[in-house]
This record gives sequence, C-alpha cells and structure tokens, in this order.
Amino acid sequence: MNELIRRCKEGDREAFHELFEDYGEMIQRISLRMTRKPEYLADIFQEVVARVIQGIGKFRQDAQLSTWLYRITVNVNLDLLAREKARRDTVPLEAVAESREDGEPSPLEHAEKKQLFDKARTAMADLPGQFQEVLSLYYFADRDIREIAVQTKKTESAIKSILFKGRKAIVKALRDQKVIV
Amino acid sequence: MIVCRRWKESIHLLVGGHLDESSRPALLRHMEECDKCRNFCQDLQKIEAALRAPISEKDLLSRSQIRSIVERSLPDAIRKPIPARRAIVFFPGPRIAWGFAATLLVFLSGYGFHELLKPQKISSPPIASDVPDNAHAKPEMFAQTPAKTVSRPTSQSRPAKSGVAPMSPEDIAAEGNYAIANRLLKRRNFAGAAAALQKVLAVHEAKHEKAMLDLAYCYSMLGQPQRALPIYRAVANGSRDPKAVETAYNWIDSLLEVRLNAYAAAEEERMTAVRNNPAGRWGKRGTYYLVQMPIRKEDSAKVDCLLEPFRREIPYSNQAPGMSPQIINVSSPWIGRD
Repeated sequence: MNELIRRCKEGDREAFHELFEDYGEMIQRISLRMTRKPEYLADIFQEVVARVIQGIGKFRQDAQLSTWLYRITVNVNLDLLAREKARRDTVPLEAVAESREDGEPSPLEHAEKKQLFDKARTAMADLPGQFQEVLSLYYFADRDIREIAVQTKKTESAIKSILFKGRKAIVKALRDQKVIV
Repeated sequence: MIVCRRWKESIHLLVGGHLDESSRPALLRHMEECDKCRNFCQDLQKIEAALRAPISEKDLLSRSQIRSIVERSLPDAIRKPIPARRAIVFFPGPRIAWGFAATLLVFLSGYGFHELLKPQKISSPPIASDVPDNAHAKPEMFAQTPAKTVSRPTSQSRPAKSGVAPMSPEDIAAEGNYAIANRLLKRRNFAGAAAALQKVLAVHEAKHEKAMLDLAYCYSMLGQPQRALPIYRAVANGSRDPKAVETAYNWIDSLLEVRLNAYAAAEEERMTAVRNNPAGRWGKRGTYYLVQMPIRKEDSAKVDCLLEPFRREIPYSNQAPGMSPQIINVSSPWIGRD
C-alpha cells in the first residue's frame, strides 16, 4: 500500500486508477448510504477524487489510507447534505409509481422512512467526533466491529460501548423530536 | 418510555446482532411480557433498518465510469506522456555520409589501398545514450560527438591501429536511404520515409532499432498500426537498449489504447442495435467476452476495463437455452473474432 501511495505522490497516473479501483466501492457505498441519492453519486465521487488528488501530497504514510479516504468521503457527503438542507426534499412521482408497482412501501411509508433516516442521520451528525466515526463506519461503510476496532485503534468492547451509547443518543434525539414515541 | 434497566443493553445487542445465543431466550421471554421493552426494541430496529437500508448494486458506478471520472479529474500536469519519437541515431547525418563516401572513393582509387591490409580502428555507430535527443534535427551536432573506437580483428589477427572501416556499396546505399528517410521525416512525408527505411532495413536485416522505430513511427502516423505494432514488439523484445524498449512499449500502449477505444465505440453501437431490437441477433446468441491479449500483465486491467460495460449490458434474454457463454477471443489488439 505504501508503494501505491508513493507512486500516487510521484504523480503516477496509473497509481491513482489502481487506488480508486481498490477503494471506489467503499467510497460509493458510504456516499449512497449517507445521501440516498444515486443521481449525485458520480458528482460526489468526482469531488472525492479531486480532494484525494489535492491532498495526497500531505498524506502521512503512518495513517491508514482507508481511514483517510473515509474521512474525505464523509466530509464531501456532509458538505452536500448541508447544501441540500435548505432545499425542499421531494420524492419524484415516477419513483412513487415505480415503488407501488413493485409492491414497495406506499408513499406515506416511503416518506416516514425517509424522515426517520434524515432525523437519525442528523442526530448522528450532532454526536461527538469519535461517535460519528464509529457509527458511520458501522452503518454507512458496512464495517463490522472487529474492522472498526482495527481502523480506529480501539478495543472491540470499546466499539460496542460507543455503538450502544450512540444508538441511545439517536433514540433520545428522535423521541425529543417526536419522530418515535 | 422507561425501559427496564436490566434489559436495555441486551436489547441494543440484540438489534445489532451481537447478543449471544444463551442470553437471547430470556430477553425474548421478557419482551413478550414487557410492552415498553418490546416497543423500545421495535424503535431501535426501525432506526437500524433506516440507517442500514440496502443499497442497490445497480446504483454503483461501473469500473469504466470510475476510470473515466479519475481520468477527468487528474490534472494535465501528471498526464501520462505521449510517447515521442526518440532519436536513437543509427547513421550519422548527411554530411558525414558524404564524407564516408568520399573517403571510400579515395581508397578505391588506389591511394590508401594497401592501408586496408593494416590493422585499423573503426568508428562504431553511436549508441542512443551517447547522442543528444535532437541529433536528428541537427546532424552537425552529432558530428561533434566523439565517436567511440573499437578494435576490429583482421584476418591476420594483427592489433588495430587507426583508420576508417571500408563500407560496402550496400552500406553506402543504406546510408543514403537513411539520410533520405530523415529528410522526409522532417517534412512529415511518412510514406516516402517508410519506403526509404524499408530499403535500409532490407540491407541491415532489422538489427538497428533506430531504423525500426522510425519505420514503426511512420506506420503509426500513416494510420497503419497493424504494421507498426509487430515492429515495436520486435524492438521491445529484442533490443538491449532500455530507451528503445521503453519507447517501443510506450507506443504499444498508446496504439492499443487507441485501438481498444475504437473497438469499444463500435461495440457500443452494436449493443445499442441489439437493445433496440430484442429479437435481433448479434453474432452468436448470449455473448460473453474472454479477453486474451498477448500484452504485458499490467495492461490486462486496462483492456478489462474497456470491455467491462459491454459484458454487463449483454441481454440475457438473447441467450439461447442451454447454451454456454460464447467466447470472443481477442487474440490480438486488431480484434480477431472467433
């Protein structure tokens, strides 16, 4: 991996392609989970690529590449969500029609789920940094507890504890907003 | 809602899928009796489901899309250099050529004929690393480059002294042709230069990579990659000069890429036709690709990436029942199809 980073720092074009072939799926999964907007995926991915290219020179070899990429991806997605916050979110009619044809949730259920997701994500964003990181890795990056422990250099029991406290905080926030009773 | 303190952590573990099997029955029994804990568990499950909702694989970008995004984002400053025709001088410039010819005439006229029998030093053809890159453009610069001298054993095995090697009429003709080729290359007359270089290589049996590279370059510029590629391959496999090998590989990469892009575009058109006409046939039914290309290992990803979209888009409905995936054998970059 150090070799790949070294090549990227030297401006090796093919090395960048290899890097994003290896980590492209992780970036996309995090982005799709965080935004639920596949139509923005290419733009988000491009923004992540641009930030990686800009920042690779400053990347320290002792840090883990996946952690660094994860942080960039989350930041890009948060920026996008912040920009989108003011915009009124709607569900396209076509999407509703399609979902009903496929036996998917009704528009009301769809809206409820979406509201729950948005509120939960907002509550997550209000948590302290280490909670955000662990919860995002768990929910958005599909990492299991052992992988998160390795990545964050914490014990597995510490990760379980953070997940427990994080969920509790989210539940509390949703109750305060009457999203759940 | 006040949840039983004793069970709260277990409910979190249950929702996260981390509760061990031995503790599970007790918790489930408790939740049957306790509405608050049951509701709390349901809320947590809702949140869990909302946050971990599955994403559709079809929303993910394909490898070629990723590649194109990365390619677009990379600044031009680190763009892969386009292989340039590298000047590896095989013959000196025309002035020197005329000099050689004049010397030979002097020898043949009798003045120095006896000198041929004496041991002598010959000037070797300059190698690429000794020669400035623009030697082709300015032959006189090369004339100032000190020539290496090597001893050539004579039939009497006498030690070499000094002198100039005699040239055969074929060598002189080849040298003249090479000078002509260089002039034509400067004028970008690639067809003429290719003809002259063919004559040079006919004499020298393709052992001089400079002339070979020049000929391949002419073919490339004439839009005849099928003729250029074998020459580049021969240089890449046979040359001991790392610069020549690198140049040849750069050109191979470049030609392959151009060709594959053209191939990809043509395939896209074909696949569009198939998609628009579900009953239509394209080659054999149910097509898959197997890419077999005699190129360097690291290029396989590139080829794979270019063909990836077409693999995905092959309509399964067009497969004949019971038919195993058909193979298109790309046995060379010039797309031979089985």
